[in-house]
Amino acid sequence: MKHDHDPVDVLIIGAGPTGAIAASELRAAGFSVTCLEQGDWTHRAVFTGATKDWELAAQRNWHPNPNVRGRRADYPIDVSESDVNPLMYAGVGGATILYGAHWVRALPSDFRVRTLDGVADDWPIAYEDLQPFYEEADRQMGVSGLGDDPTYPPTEAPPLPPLPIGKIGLKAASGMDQLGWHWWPAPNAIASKAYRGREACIRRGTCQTGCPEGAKGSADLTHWPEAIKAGVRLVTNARVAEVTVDAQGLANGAVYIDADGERRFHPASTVIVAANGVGTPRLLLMSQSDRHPDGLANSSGLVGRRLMMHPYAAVNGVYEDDLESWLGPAGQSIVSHEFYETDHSRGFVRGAKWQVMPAGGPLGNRSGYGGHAETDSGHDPLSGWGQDFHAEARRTFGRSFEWGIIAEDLPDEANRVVLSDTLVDADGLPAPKIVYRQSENTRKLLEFHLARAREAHLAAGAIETYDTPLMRDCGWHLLGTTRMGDDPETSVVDSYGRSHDVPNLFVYDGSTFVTSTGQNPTATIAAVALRAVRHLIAERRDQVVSTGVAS
Amino acid sequence: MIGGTGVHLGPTALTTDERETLDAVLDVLIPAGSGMPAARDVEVSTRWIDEALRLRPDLRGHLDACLAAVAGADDPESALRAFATAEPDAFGAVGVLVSGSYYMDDRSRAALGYPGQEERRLVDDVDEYAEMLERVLDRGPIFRPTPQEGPHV
Repeated sequence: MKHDHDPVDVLIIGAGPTGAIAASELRAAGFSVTCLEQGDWTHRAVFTGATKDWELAAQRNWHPNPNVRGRRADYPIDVSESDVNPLMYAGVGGATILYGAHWVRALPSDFRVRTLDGVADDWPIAYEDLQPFYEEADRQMGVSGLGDDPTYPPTEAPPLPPLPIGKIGLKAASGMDQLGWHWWPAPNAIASKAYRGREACIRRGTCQTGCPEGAKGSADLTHWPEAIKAGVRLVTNARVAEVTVDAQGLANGAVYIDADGERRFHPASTVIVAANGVGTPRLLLMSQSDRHPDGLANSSGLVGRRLMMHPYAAVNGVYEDDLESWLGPAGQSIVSHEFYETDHSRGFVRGAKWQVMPAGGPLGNRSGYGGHAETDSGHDPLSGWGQDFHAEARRTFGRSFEWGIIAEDLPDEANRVVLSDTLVDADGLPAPKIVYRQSENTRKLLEFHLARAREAHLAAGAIETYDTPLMRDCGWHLLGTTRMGDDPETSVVDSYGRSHDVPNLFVYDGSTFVTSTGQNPTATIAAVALRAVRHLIAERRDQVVSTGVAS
Repeated sequence: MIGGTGVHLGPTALTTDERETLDAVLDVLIPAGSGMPAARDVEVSTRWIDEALRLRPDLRGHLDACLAAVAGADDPESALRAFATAEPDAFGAVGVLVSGSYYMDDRSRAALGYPGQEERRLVDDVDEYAEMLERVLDRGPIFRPTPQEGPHV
């Protein structure tokens, strides 16, 4: 193993949004910072959104499931015991390369689930603790939206004006208006005007396969260029195999495998892991030693447990009007929190955020609105083909959109990330294995929300609706696997992401969530990370560090 | 076991016979109709299928199996139906390839009214929904505030 790196003050593992935020803040405060990223840069010229092959390429090369993409940078994931496939992207920017940039905050009740609803646990922080960091994250990411949404306590408006909600948003809003249900123009981390070096959105609608225009707020654009210019060292194609500890039990660096397959040690005074809700517990579990036989930072036994992935369902509606429903952003058009808060009379607790999204091009439209060969006995497997192929396309293409439902799933220690006994990545490191089952509460929640979303479509004038009850490829939101808390026996890190066991080891990603909320989590992940890193900087004089490695 | 879904990149070109069989499959799956051209008339079997296989080499085996099942059949539709019944996943993959190929052609796109994922100038459409949004605001806040009990704020 090579020992040829000089030590740094802070070593960050993972160049996704929180690694980028932490690196930027720490460097600005004068720390020496290196980030190790297992993937590489993704240049926007390789995104296919503007080309004819976009939809076919999206189904493999730009698919959010790493098992489908099969790139060397992505580690494989054993999903044989999971209802849902985790989705992610290994590279500079992390999953923001492929996310839809739905930039929504959690609600005050999300942080008090035990107190308000008698289930799960309260967070050790409140919405009010995060509000200033939400506002700062909005500015850093360049969020477009409209202020005064009554979903939230009064807060600063997004820095950029809202993106157009388009014909699909107007149609959906008309239904919600008739029903008297909440809706609001959606906030997106997509620039509606040129902003801090980024271009304005041109409604390409291919956000989830990479933005060819560079208008989407992905961390490779929002943070890394400036951070590198300021002096952060970002090492790509560097897959971390282990976080190491010194004789005092403090983190003192990491062992990684470089692009040539060479194992190298990088010393550091402090280590931040920002590798997502699957990658972070995987790394901590891989960091086993005689002293930490169950993995690092795992005296609670909770590393990898309480995995939450937000089961996702949708109702697609077909309309008589031409809605140009391939048009972006995608991105979200409008959102609703009408059924977000708990109502015990529904037979379940918690709720879900809804969003309207476009239906995509002809292939995406086809996957949402029929055309599948039926395999049940009695069905003609060629139904949906022949003349039906054209008739269906004529009836639905451009005339349909989805109300998507992000269901809050509650923490369950049985849902977890473990190390696979059989599967390894391209560097021979154990792959993560996901054990995850949908709960009865989630099943009831989705059933209720699907029924309401059908009503929303019908009120807007839909002539048909199609349910997608639970998508298997929906695990965008990887949460809860190193939960935060004040008690070291029932949590892995504190509210600043600091490990209870290893006080100079931090986790800055969705792993630290106590509950999942019913929202897209990146805004909250960013706000929690901003709060944590600013606390680390403010308390730098009291921060215990590994001796002998300080630069 | 090494993870990932690495695909063996072997010879990719379909033979002339295979392209003829593919046309027979296309005549069943995507004939002309509803103002849309037939797949065989928009170069699916001679041009776009190659592009589709470049993008989705992982589906090549399924296409080969389908073409083998239909080749030389007196009644391609019956042969295809039997294949789809026996091999639903493979048939699904063939469906992705042929529909993906079909919609890459400009003639198919124009007939459907799909300009592709084109650029559009951003417009401000707030005025179109401002009145509806006023009613949302009139209904007031919908969140539950942070309760006083529980961890300190």
